[in-house]
Amino acid sequence: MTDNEKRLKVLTDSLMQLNVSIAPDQRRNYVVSTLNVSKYSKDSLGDVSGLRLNIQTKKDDETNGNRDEDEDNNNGQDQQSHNGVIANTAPIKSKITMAHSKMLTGLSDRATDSLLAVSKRNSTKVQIRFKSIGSIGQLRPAIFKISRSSRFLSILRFLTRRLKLNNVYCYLENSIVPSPDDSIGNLYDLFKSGDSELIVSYCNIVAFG
Amino acid sequence: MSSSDIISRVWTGILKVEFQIDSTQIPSTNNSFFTVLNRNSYLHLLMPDILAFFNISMDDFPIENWWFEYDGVPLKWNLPAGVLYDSSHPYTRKEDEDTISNVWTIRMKYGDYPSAYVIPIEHIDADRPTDWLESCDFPFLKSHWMNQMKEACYILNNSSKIMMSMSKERSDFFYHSVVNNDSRVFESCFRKLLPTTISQIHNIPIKIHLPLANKVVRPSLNGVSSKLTLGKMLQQLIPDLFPSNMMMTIAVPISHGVILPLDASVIHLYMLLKYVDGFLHINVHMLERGSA
Repeated sequence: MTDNEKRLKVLTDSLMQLNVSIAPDQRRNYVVSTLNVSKYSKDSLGDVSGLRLNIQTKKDDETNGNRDEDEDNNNGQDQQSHNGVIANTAPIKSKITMAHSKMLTGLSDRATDSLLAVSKRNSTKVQIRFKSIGSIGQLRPAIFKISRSSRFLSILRFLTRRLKLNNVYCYLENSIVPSPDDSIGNLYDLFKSGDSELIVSYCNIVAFG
Repeated sequence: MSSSDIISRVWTGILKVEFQIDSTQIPSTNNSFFTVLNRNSYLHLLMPDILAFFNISMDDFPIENWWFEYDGVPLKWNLPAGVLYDSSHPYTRKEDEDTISNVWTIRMKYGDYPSAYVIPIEHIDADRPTDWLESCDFPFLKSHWMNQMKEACYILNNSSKIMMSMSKERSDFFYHSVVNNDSRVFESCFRKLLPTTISQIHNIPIKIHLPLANKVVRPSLNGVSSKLTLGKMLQQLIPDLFPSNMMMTIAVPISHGVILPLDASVIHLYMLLKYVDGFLHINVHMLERGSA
């Protein structure tokens, strides 16, 4: 493999790991094909900046979608909170445009490395304490751990399933309603209590307007 | 340029947009709806205009099932339009075809909601005033916006009390300043959320959007001083992308479509450039080889 090929391989693999897929370019009616980067001939890599990384977009989506559903169906309560750890049931997925992927191939090695470094998942776990509001039962044990990269949606899903509710309303600091796509790490850093835990109050009805 | 000039520019910033309907379920036309979109607003605020243009009734096609897509990428309705535009258009110094045409083509999709990428829109049964559509009284958008403002209020004051104790009339008035793109009303309501002096500010509501994988970095500052520059903050938070606090070598910070100066004070940037949701959104873009 040439250096360019190696670099592209690293980039494509990293994007897959980060759950980033590349969307087909509809404006230019781009035909999406499944290309294996290592199959690029040396000549076609002559102009790397013009190369478009075509990861199997459509197919990739479908398999990802199925995998999510499997998680939903198979993860019983025990698996969801194994050893007091809340599973990341809502992994962050993202798509980037073709123009964006073109930009990635135009970066210097150093810039690519830095970008991949900051995009990495952080699986360090933080402590969550659940507190019930009103008539709803208190969860026992009340303390769980969850990874920093998980989204708040994972907590909402965990609670609705554990409490067998259709809807659960969660609050931080008895007032804040985080967006479901906020990362636990950010919320923990901003709203943790003195005891180094994030207190999540929950209720089956709207508790704070 | 005075502070009020900058704020008024933030509120008058627009994007040229072309909306196309893309769904098998919609008895549609191939027409495009060309319009302008305020950067400092939400995509859904254009829904009444779009649906009226395409002659689609919201009764038959409820608003919760619609979503927006650009170049095959679903757009997050919960972020202000300017943030979406900046994050989906990589920064480039080259004047290529994309920057010249400069029209943002957004496809309107109905059904098959991409829940893995975008927060689903909750259907809230609420009593709708007769003019709910014209006044963009969408419960999901209003509650999302209120929650963001409450969070911003907490971050600024270490308490959401001011926002929580606001009367319904007052918060409706505040929300409609967003719908009506009325910077004067918005600023006067917003000022009430601020502590009286800079030294009383607890932390600054900022969301830094990284170029890949939807990652957002949010600073938790220990005390706020006007001496804290953007360069110092970025170097501290993401040293991989900002190894220097004076020079942009790998990446650039962008907000409202402009590159932010690293020597600007973070609190001043916040006061002038905050978006309608009470947050300063910064998009980090990578510098391509040879453009540094």
